[in-house]
Amino acid sequence: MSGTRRMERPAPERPATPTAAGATGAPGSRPRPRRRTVSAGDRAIFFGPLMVVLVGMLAFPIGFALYASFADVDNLFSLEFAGAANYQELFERPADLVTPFLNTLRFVGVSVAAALVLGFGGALLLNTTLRGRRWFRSALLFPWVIPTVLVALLWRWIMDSNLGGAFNGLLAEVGIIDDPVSWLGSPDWAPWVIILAQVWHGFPFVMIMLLAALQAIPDELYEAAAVDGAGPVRQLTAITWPGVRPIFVLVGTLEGLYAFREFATIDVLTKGGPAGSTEVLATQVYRLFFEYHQFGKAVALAALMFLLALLATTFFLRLSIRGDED
Amino acid sequence: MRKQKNVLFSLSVVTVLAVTAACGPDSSGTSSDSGEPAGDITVTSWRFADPSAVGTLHLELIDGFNESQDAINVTTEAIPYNDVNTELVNSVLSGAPADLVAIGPSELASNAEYLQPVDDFWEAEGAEFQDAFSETARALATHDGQLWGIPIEMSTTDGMWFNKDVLADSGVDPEQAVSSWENFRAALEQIKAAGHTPMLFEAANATRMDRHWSWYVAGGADLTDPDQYVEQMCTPESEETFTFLTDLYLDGLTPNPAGIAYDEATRQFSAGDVGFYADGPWAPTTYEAYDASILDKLGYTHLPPKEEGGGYGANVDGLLWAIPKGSANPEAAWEVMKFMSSVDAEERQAANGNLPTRTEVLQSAVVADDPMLAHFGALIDEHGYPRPRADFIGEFKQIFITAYQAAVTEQQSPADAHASACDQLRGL
Repeated sequence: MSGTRRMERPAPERPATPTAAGATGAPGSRPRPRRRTVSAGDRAIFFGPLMVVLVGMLAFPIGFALYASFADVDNLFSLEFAGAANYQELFERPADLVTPFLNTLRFVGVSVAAALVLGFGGALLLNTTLRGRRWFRSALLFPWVIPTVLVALLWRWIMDSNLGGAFNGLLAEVGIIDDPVSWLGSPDWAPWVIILAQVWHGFPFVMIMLLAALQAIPDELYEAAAVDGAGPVRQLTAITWPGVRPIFVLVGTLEGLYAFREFATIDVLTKGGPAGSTEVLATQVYRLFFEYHQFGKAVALAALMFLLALLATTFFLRLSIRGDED
Repeated sequence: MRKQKNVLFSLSVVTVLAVTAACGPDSSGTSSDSGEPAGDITVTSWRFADPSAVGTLHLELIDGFNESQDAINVTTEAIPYNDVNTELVNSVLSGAPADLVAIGPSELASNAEYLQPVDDFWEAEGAEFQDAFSETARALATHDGQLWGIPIEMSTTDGMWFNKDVLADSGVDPEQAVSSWENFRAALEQIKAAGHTPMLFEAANATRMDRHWSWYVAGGADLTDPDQYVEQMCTPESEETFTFLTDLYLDGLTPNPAGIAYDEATRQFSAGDVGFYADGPWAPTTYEAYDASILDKLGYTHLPPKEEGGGYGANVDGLLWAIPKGSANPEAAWEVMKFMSSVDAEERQAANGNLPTRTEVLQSAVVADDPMLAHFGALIDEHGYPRPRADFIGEFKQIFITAYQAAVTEQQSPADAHASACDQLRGL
């Protein structure tokens, strides 16, 4: 449809290309506007502070961290170039990386998918004429404004392994369980509890962003579609989805990055256990650095995480841009 | 197209950085307690700065030091117990360490790189000062043949606390219960049959391994030589201990240890329906904070030996003041350390339920007249061994606790989990 519209659009009229004669000031031609030149000093004034910020806060830390991954940081951060020794050491025991990597994929994949589904559903609901939607809008934002550590502590209390825990207490109250379940002590349950905590904390952000995108879609489009006989599903796929898709991809990417580097929730709830079932790359970096003092391996793994995040972000933003072009 | 690619790449980098900039642990609770202007010395502390009796004592001692002289002004920084290693590494690597830190002796080996030895200071004080501290205490402050601080407190986490009411209701005699593993299991089964929670055992994370060591010692492991840790923990006897501890959960005699850390264990024990729980001499003040009524029901004894009349262990740790590498004022820091470990300070430590490190105080009425302190003192004297310490101990504990978690949650059989842990340990 958009392609058709583009074809029908008349080609923009280009201004006449100045001829050589015109350029030389032939009679009848418009004088060429004088090109304003910006002095180096002006450039420095306008771009200098920005460059300082960019270099100081972005380029330098990245460069330093990437260099450190090739340096002898194990020796009290001596920073002497050491080639790929840190990476070599990191991959000496690949089994130590496989489980955290797979756990990371599960944690990111499931939590982002769930947050997007819940967030989109919530946004659709709040975009209707639902009674009390303003109250719901505020209430549903509540989880998002709580600091991550508090969220983790809250979920630790909810999933406490005795009947004093809110969830166990509730299940016992309604007669589903007799004995408390050790949710955080079970490798079968613990990964899903941290995902649940992550989704609970993250979905309001998705919801509010998608709600903003939904509200930017003109009502006239829905009215016209209704006149043309389009039902709710058709309206959703032909109007709503294209309208929110760029934001959907963007918040999905951001949520993915948040989940990818999530540390506090996991550290407070399970510390990567039990039996390594919730160990992710971020907790592994922390453990290598602060608990084992294996700085070289830690910075090498952190550098790999950065590259992974960069690749994933590039992929999803490219996807978003391609979608816009389509 | 190229321009679009550049924009895309830049956008990606900025997005990743914006999101990952805050990556890492949340800084939790580091704050300056003191409104005083910074003096020559900054004291970084962990649990002393907590709002507990010892926390109050610490601040009182600091104030006392500041009032006692004019040359050195001490300011304090509150470092939560769990953050002390992270803070120490961070501050030394960043070149801005505190002048004094309070750490556990078992963390000396893994943190020695970030501390400076204080043998010269000890030497300069003379024999009288050196001999004032007990042998056990000085051993706690020693690593690799060097002294790394002044110990101010000794303790063991391996006293066995019990709830008198629960045991009475179950018909269990505590001393009979801790006479052997077999009798202990039988007692736990009795408590279970009476409808109570028999015991609590912790394995939620690697630090909880400190509650496991002494069971292996009772099982025959000799954990006095770091070079032998791996070998000692991988004997058939240690596998037997591993299986015994695993079966405690698999047979329903303890709630899932893989989900229990110290705070949860103490909360559950304080609730009053648990038979046994191993903990240190500070336990009553901890439990009291949850439920003061537990104090009337508390009794204490020792861990059970494997066989009747056999040996059992009590891993000894405590607290010492040490000077980080790169401290700007090591001499002044030493003066503060001496004040914090004076006879008066040690007596006040003992009054707070901690075993002092000065022989004079250890043998004084302050300890002798307190049956609980005397009990823990005897445990250390007769069954004490330094809590395992080595530069690889963090990874060691993580591997072993992970294997234990795998066994109790039936991801692996106890034998396989133990063998898998030993394979990894041998690769350290």
